[in-house]
Amino acid sequence: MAIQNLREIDLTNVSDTQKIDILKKVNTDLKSSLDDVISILAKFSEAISIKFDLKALLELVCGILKEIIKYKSIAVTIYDEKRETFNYMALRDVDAATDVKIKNLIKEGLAQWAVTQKRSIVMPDMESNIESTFIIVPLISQMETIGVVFMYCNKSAESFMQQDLEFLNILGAQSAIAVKNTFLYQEMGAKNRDLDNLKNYLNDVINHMVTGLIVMDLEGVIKTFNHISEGLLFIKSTAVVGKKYESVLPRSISETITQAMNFVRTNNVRNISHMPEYEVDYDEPGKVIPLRMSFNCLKDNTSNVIGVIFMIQDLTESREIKRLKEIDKIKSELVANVSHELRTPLTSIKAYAETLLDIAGTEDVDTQKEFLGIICQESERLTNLISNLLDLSRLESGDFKLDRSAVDLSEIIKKSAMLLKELASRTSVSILIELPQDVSKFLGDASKIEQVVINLISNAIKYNKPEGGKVTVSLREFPDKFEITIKDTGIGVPQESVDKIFDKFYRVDSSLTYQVSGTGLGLAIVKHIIDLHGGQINVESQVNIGSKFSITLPK
Amino acid sequence: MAISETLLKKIESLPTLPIVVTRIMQLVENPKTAAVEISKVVSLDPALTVKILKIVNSAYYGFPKQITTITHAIMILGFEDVKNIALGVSVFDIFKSKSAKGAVEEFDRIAFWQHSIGVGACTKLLAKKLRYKNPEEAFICGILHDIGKIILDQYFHEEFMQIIGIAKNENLLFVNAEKKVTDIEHPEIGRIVAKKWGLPQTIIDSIAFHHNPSLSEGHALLVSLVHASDVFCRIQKIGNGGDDLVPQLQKTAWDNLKLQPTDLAKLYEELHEEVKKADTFMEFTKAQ
Repeated sequence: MAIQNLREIDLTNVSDTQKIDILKKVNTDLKSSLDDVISILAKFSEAISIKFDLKALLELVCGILKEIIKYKSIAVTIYDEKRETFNYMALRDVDAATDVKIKNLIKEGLAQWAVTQKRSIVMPDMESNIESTFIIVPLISQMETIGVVFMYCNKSAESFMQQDLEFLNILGAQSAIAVKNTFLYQEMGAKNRDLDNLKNYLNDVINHMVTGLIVMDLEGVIKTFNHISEGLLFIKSTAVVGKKYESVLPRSISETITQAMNFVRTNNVRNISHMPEYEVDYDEPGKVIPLRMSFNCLKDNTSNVIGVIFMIQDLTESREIKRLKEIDKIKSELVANVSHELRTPLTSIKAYAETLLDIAGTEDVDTQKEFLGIICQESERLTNLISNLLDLSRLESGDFKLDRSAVDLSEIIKKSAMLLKELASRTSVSILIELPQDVSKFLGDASKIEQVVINLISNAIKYNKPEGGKVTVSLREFPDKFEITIKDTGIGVPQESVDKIFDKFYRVDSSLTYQVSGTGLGLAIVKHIIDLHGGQINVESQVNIGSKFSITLPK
Repeated sequence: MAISETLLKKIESLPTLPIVVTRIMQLVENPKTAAVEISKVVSLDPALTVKILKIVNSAYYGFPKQITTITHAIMILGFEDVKNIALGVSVFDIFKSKSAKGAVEEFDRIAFWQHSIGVGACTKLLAKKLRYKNPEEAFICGILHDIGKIILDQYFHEEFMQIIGIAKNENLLFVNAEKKVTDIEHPEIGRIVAKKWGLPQTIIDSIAFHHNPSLSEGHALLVSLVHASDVFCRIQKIGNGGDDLVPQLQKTAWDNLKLQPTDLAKLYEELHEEVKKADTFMEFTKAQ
């Protein structure tokens, strides 16, 4: 007995036992039909929820619907939002005639009606000779139109029961969710691939930067540590990523990071456009690498600071370039200087030689002698200059050897002062010598020490004030060393140049010293010689008051 | 004798729902009912058949093809909808407008049904917005919510006119004017009749508690939609339920709607659209 006929049963003339039997039967029927429905639904939901490929899912849906509906043919369409049409996505047994009919149903707006009304439609096929029905089930997931399923059955529309329609709606909703899931799954896959690509891209960019990069969160946990950072700091990223910087980075670096982090914490960094930069000398065993560390804040999409990005640059090269530029400048100046120095004596030698040629054979022997003297003197100057250059070059190449003997420093000072007496008197400079009574001998190269003393005294004369200058040379002996000081009352050396005057080719501001001839080599040679003796040379100087050069020589 | 006592007696003589409608309601309760069975029952009443086909082919459903048989109507619109249509048109039939008799009415039944259909349309609209499972059920609940008023008019006309007068002169809500005249108010009268007719509990609750939805046990959400729709239709002056005032919208009902005050303008626009679609129903409220 079919349950739908329950209400039709006339129980008036039925015995109580029969009544009980009928009710039992009805109950069993109801229970079994409910069990059927539940088991079909469970099977359906379970099967479709594990498919993430659209084609495979729709195949499965078609297969299960075949079991439930016993359709003749089926077409699953997916809604194309842009074109506002329903496109076939899965078909089974759809012949040409059915295809036309389905397309007509779509054209007439039935698919659209089913989705807007969220109702399944059961429609008799009027054109068919045998009783046939179209079942149109909308696929809607969370208000979004997914598509419509068309099923064609050789079954009368009249035979559909209320529960069939409700059941179709449930199947439709379940299928829609599963289809939507495949869409989301695909979308997620695409997004994941995009993210992977982006990640690779960013990693490439980060690792091919010429700047070291360290990114950390506000807790100080290192998040990124690129290849250049590894190379600069001699640390592997695997050893530091995920750890607090204080515990894994060398002290000089981590102290700088702490400063920067404090800056970030104590300032409203949103309003600061220019962040401080730090220079750090990074002590790597064997060498010191100068680094520049700059930083910026890492912000999330609402501009909240969530971390700090450090950029590290190796300054070795840029410092080297700076130094080379300076050398280049010095060399250019030297060429100008040396050319000038060479030309001055050459010019006068040439002029006097030409004049001598003109007057050769005349009686004027005095003039000829005088001219030859000048030529000789200028040649001497040239020789000096060239030998200075040679000295320096030998000193630099390391060929220079000291010829050590017991040297009387007092004698050397006296002799040097003697030699320069004439030069001093020419510029009205007086030389004052202060020597102790008894001085022990110094073991050194006498001629080189003399060269040093002569050089320093002649500088003291040359760079003294124009009239009435004074040069004081003194010698003192200490238990472990000798000290020679040469003090003048001249133009002095500006503070910023004091450290550089011993550099070869260096001359204090060209315009100031232009009147005084010099190659810029003298003090460099002096320093080399003192260094070779294991001594030291220091300068104290005040502009326009005078300079004091002190040489200490160890015993 | 107080109205309540008289009423209970008079209810016996109230017209019952047509047997066809009662039968449809019974059949629809069984999930195993086939469309053809309902179709057979409806066909016993040719007038009802015509009315149902008229509605299913109206703009209210906007179905793209002509629906020519009740079976098709059931297959396409579902059992519940056809049941509700049958119930709706039968109730209209019982309480048809008397204007055909030519009497000048202080109470305009056309405006009354306009208000009822408006509330039905609005309840359906809100139900759809909240994804309530059966929007058509919401429609019929809205339509029938004030059925108690029309029973008062039909069977206690004198008292009813008194209430209308008080509401007008003293500027009171109908339900407040009612308290001055009778000892039983229209929600309760409606509830008693609906129960006698064997209407579903959702409709009974919508009639009984549409002024106080939280009293409904089990259908508070649907009833609060009816309550809110009553308020919205009065604000929009869709039809007239016997007074010109707008009752206070209950806070719990408003919370249930999950709407922002800024959404209301759009809702009203959609409401007028929906009322226009339901215009076919108005035809069946008028005397032929």
